[in-house]
Amino acid sequence: MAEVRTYRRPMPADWWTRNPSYVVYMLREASAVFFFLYALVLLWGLNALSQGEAAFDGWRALLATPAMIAFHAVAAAFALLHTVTWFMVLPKTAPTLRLGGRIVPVAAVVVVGVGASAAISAFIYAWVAGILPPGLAEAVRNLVPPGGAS
Amino acid sequence: MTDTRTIRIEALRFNPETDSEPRLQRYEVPFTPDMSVLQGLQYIKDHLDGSLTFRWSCRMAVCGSCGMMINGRPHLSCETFLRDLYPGPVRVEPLDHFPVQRDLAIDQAGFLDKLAAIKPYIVSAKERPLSEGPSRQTPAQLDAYYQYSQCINCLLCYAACPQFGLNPDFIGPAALSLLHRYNLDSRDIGWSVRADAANADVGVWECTVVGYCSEVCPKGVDPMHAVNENKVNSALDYLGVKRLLGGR
Ligand code: FES
Repeated sequence: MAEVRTYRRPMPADWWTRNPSYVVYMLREASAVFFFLYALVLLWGLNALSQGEAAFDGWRALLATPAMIAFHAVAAAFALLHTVTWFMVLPKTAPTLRLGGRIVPVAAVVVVGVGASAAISAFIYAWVAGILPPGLAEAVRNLVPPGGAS
Repeated sequence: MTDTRTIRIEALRFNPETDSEPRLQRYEVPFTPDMSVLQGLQYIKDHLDGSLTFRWSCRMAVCGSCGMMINGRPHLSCETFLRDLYPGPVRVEPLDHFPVQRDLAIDQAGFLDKLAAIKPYIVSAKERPLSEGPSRQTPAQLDAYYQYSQCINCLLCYAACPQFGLNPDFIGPAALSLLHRYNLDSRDIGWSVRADAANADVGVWECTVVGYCSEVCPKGVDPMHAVNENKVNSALDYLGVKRLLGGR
């Protein structure tokens, strides 16, 4: 049998702009770039800290510039997008989650997952900022020995 | 008939014997509210242009032959209705990411090879004589794979998969769903029979969790879940855990 001649349509470079599902996917993947840049900023701060108070204050002053604030706002938006979409795909990437024989709906996974992430973030922020409610602060002091974080 | 309206259908045309590349051709098609896009194409073939080529068989979303891009999205043309696309125009093209054979018909050969590669049949540990009667399964055992057995090989999921578009060798959503279907079947040996297909470079790891395959599946198969559960299996296999579990 003669080989059938076919036509291969090339995949256009802007393929991902043609469907909202692809756009969301690309934004989720792009969030990795912002995580990377944010990690660099933190490393930079750590390095400044090791070089003494003047260097660290210089780094902190830089963080207060409009460009850095804008960067952090964008990075935070991507972090939020990544968190939500990560929990949205979790029921697909992990074995089926069942509760009492019934499959747990995606919405429940997202709400519980994002809620837990938010609670942990709030706790760490309050701990570092020293504004934990007294009872909780007491519990943390018992768990983390003096000289540890806080 | 009073409820007959007219809609424009723009079809991609490609004749491998004469054309160097595809072009669009427009047809004005009268339709009634009960007509699908497939019936619109059949009207064109019967009354306007007998050379228009497209595949179909069952007309009821069972055979999986009639998949095509309708206004840029993969659909079964037999269950997509012209009334829902009015006033149009309706653009019909062959499924994305596949080589075009003629007009709306794609070349399925690559998929058929992949399907064969995942051994789409029950591989049992030992031959069962007929005298033993049917292999029985509990409702729970049936439930484990039932969803994946609903695949009709319509290939909409491949047209929805940019990874397949970028790498035509990717085994892809439907074949991997069927791999999962047989692995989950209590009558089958399971994982070890199809491990090579899943572990390959063009196997489950080629998937980057775009997830559009599961959105377009007309049968609710959820290929994305099948593929990604097998990333877990593939990782366990790499670590040697699958062997401890007897290859299941
Ligand atoms: S003609 Fe069979 S699925 Fe559409």
